[in-house]
Parts: sequence; structure tokens; C-alpha cells
Amino acid sequence: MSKKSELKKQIEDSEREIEALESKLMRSQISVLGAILRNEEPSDVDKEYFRVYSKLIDVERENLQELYKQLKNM
Amino acid sequence: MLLFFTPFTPGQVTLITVIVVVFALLVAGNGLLAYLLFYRKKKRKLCTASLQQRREELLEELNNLRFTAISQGVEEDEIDETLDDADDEADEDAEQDDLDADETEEEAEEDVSVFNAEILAVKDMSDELRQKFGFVGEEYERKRYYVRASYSFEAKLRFADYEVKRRYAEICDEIARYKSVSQKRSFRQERVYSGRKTWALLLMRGKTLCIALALNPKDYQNTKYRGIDKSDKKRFANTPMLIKLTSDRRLSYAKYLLSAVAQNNAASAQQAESRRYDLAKLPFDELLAQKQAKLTVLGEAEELDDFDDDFADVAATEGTSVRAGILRISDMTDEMLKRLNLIGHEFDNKSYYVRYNYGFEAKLRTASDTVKQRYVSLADEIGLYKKMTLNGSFRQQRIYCGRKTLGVLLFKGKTLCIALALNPKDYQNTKYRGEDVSDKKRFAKTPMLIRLTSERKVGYAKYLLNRLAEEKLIVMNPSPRKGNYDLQAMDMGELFANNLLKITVIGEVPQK
Repeated sequence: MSKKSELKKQIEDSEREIEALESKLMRSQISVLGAILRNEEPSDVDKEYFRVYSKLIDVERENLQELYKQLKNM
Repeated sequence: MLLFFTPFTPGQVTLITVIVVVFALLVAGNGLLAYLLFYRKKKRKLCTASLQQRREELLEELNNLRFTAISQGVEEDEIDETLDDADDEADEDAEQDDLDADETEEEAEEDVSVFNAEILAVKDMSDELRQKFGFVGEEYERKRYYVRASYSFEAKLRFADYEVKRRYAEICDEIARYKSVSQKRSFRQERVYSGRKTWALLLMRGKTLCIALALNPKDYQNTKYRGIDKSDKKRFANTPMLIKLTSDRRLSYAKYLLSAVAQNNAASAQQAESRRYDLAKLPFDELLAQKQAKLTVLGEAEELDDFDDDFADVAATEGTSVRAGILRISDMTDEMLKRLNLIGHEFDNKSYYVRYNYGFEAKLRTASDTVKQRYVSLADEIGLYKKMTLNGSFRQQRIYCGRKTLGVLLFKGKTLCIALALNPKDYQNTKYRGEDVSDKKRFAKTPMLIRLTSERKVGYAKYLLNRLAEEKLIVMNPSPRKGNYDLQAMDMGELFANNLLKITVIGEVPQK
């Protein structure tokens, strides 16, 4: 039972982390999008931020899927 | 069996129920407390090691990116400012680019490569700052960063003394007398111009208000109006005569010289009128919001968990700033290159942000002769007592007898201090009074701190050492030890080689 509740807590943490990362990603996303709409080249810094945050979100999502799998198997 | 079974009365049952409920609440409370103290503060751990590793690598990349991006962002912002001006766009652009290049040159020349960085905890930052640097999230709660603040001309003026502000107002009123003369403020200075011609630049050099005028300094070299010749600097190519407005007399000279500039430009003067200028001091967050100040994050400092609580206390109460600077590969000794792992051609021509940590002995060796003398005097005093010994560690020297610590010799900034194992309250109303530092963990055993700022204080410290010796029944040494102290000054390379100075590389200075 405690393992199950621990898994649920971890899932909640993971979901919160994804939300936080997505809000950080939004800034660089807006900047890149704005540059594209202005027909300009987006800055390298924004592109890097976007790439790193996207990867962090992917890692977190994989973690979340793994946790759901573990919860389902219990 | 039935004879021994006595049923509980309703009162007893109620009492038992209450006790059980209270006990359950206590256990739950303890459990919650344990959870809050230990579980939540743990770093986030993902369910597999490979995911955890990937996350850590990405976070590392993010940190490096943040550091590089923010440093570059400072330069980009300064350049962006010039694009707003419609009238003198071409002039401003060219001038601003030159100014940016010049600033590095000027700073190098004046040897301003060492700057003070401060440690700022994320929890002390405002929400806007946290948002700006992306320090949003629980994982940043305990993090601290080395930061450097840079202030605009306007911000420095707002923080200046009343006299500086008054002189600024007066010089602006004088400028306003001339027809078709305008003033335009940028981040670093205020330009006084008429059409496309620059008459003067108003700037702050440190805390001093200065005016650079479009006059030939050689014409006034042997007069009372002489100024500093800055014609060799690109920044002052159009305004080579610099006057520091450090007094009302100099202000009057500046006004006279301004009239000379006006004469050169055939400009007429009108009636002077006094204006009001909003130069009230503003809080840092507001300056940041108005882009009158910039905060550069240099790198991550140790988290509060890993850091000595007592250092954190000291830093918080005394506003200690960490000595940081820029060190070029060409300035580093072979020993430094070896120990900092910067050997290799790939590091040629690079510069790094570094943090200097001077130990007790390093500070003593680089201190003035007076401080060294006071130290020697105290060390000899300690030698007068049998079994009283002085033993040094990196950041302090401990005075002890057997296992008992009697005192600690340390530096607070550049001041040699002694902390003694005496109760400060006992000496509160006497001339031997010291600071009560018992609330700091570091001084738990030696709560009475005396700053050795004069010979008199050294004398008091010796008296108190004597009192300590009496208290602890320490007898005088029949053959007092007089040490031969090697306190010769050493340069940074030697201090580093002898492990008296620690250098930590915070990050690389982005190359232009």
C-alpha cells in the first residue's frame, strides 16, 4: 500500500515538474515563433533553450509513463 | 477467569479513547514533520538510473547555457538601446559600438579586471527575477548564484549623494540655457548635443559625476580650467576634455568651459531657469524593471546545505562579498594551469571567471606591516604561557591548551580579530567589551570577538588572554617561546602554490 501511495506521489511530482518545464519552455517558444513570424532567424540562445527544455520534458514524460506502468502492474 | 475480568466504566472508556486519539495524532504529526524535513527536501529522483542521468546532463547543459546566454545578453541589450534613436541613429550606433569595445580596453588599462561578485540566494530573489532567469521550481529553492550587478548612469545618479545630484541639476540647468541643445540619456551616459554635433558627455566614473567636453585639453593645460586629456580613448574622441565635478568650484569651471563650447558652435544663451529632476533612490527591483540596472549570473555557488552555516550567517549579516575576477590563461602560472586542468592548446587566449578564497595566512601575508606586527605581538604573548599553543588551519588559527579551545585568530575582511572563550556579558560595561557572537555556530566556543584595530585593542586582548589563563589555571612558561614568523608578502602565484589561496573556476568568459 505504501509503495502504491509513493508511486502516486511520484506521479504527482512528475506531472508538476512537467507543468513547470512547459511554462519555462513557453518563453523560448514564443521568442522563436515571434522571430519566425517576423521572417527573422531566431537567436541561437532561444533555439538552444527550446531544445534543452523540450528534452527535459521528454525525459520527464518517459519517467511518468514508467511510473504509470509500475502502478498498473501493482 | 471471569473473576479477573472487570469491565471498564464509561468514564474509563472515554479516557482510553481520548488517549488513543491523542497518541495517534502525535504519531501522525511526527510522521508529517519527518516527511517535511527529510523527504521533500530530497532531490528529485527519477525511476530509472538512465533517465536520472539524462536529466542531470540536460540540467548541466541548461546551467552552462544560462551562464553563456546571460553574459551575451548584456552586450546585446546595450547595442539594442541605440536603435531607438531616430534623429542621430547613425552617430549613436557607431559611437555605441566603439564605446562597448572601448570599455574593455579602458577597464584593462585601469586594471579593473577584478570585480566584486555577490552571492544571491534564489529564495531572496523577487518573483520577476526568478522568472527572468528561469529559477522557477522547487529544485531552485536551496540554490545560490554568483551575481554581478551593473548600474546605468541614471541608477548611479539616483544612488549618489545629495551634492552630486545638486551639481547634476545645476549643470543640466546650465545646458538648458543654450538654444537648440538637447540631452539624450543612454545606459552609460548622457550626451549633450546640438544637431549632429556632440558638445559634451555627462557620465559617472565610480561615484564621481564627470563631464567630458568638446574642447582641446592642451588649450587649457596651464590654466585653472585644466581637465584630464582623454583624446587617446575612442569613447572620448569627440569630447576629449574630462572634468570631474567634485566641488562647486569645478562646477563653475565646467559652466565656463561649456560657454566656450557654445562660442565655438555659435550658439546663443538664454535666461537660466531652475528645473526639477526626479533623482530619488529606487529599489533594485524597480531599477531592473526600468532597465536601469542589469544582473549577470556568473555561476552557481554552493547550496546552503553544503555551505557552512556560520559563513552564511556572516555573509548575511556583514554583506560579505566574494572576491571574484577574470583571469586570463596567459596570466596563470604553470602550477595554476596544472591544478585547474587548463593545460592544452585549446585553452590558449581564453579567460575565465574565477573566485578567490584567501586563507588566514594568505590574508596575513598580504596585510599591512601594522597588522603583521599585531599578530606577532599576540603570538609572542601566547608563547608566554605554558601549554598554550597556536595551531593554524586554512581560515583561522586556534589558541588552545590541551583539548580546550581558548581563542581563535581570524580575519574579518582585512581586519585581524580574536574570538575568546569568555562570556561577553561579563565584560559588557567595561573597556574590554567585545562583540557577542555566541549566536554563530562557528563561535559557539569562543563567543567574545575583539577586532584588533589598534594597539590599545591588542593590549586588551592580551589582558583577556591573561584572564583566560588564570581561569584555566595555565601557568607562565619559564622559557617563553618567541617565534620566528615568516610573514613575507607573496604574490598570487606563490600563495596558490603554497595552498594558501584557493582558486575556483566559475566559468569561461565568452569570447567576442
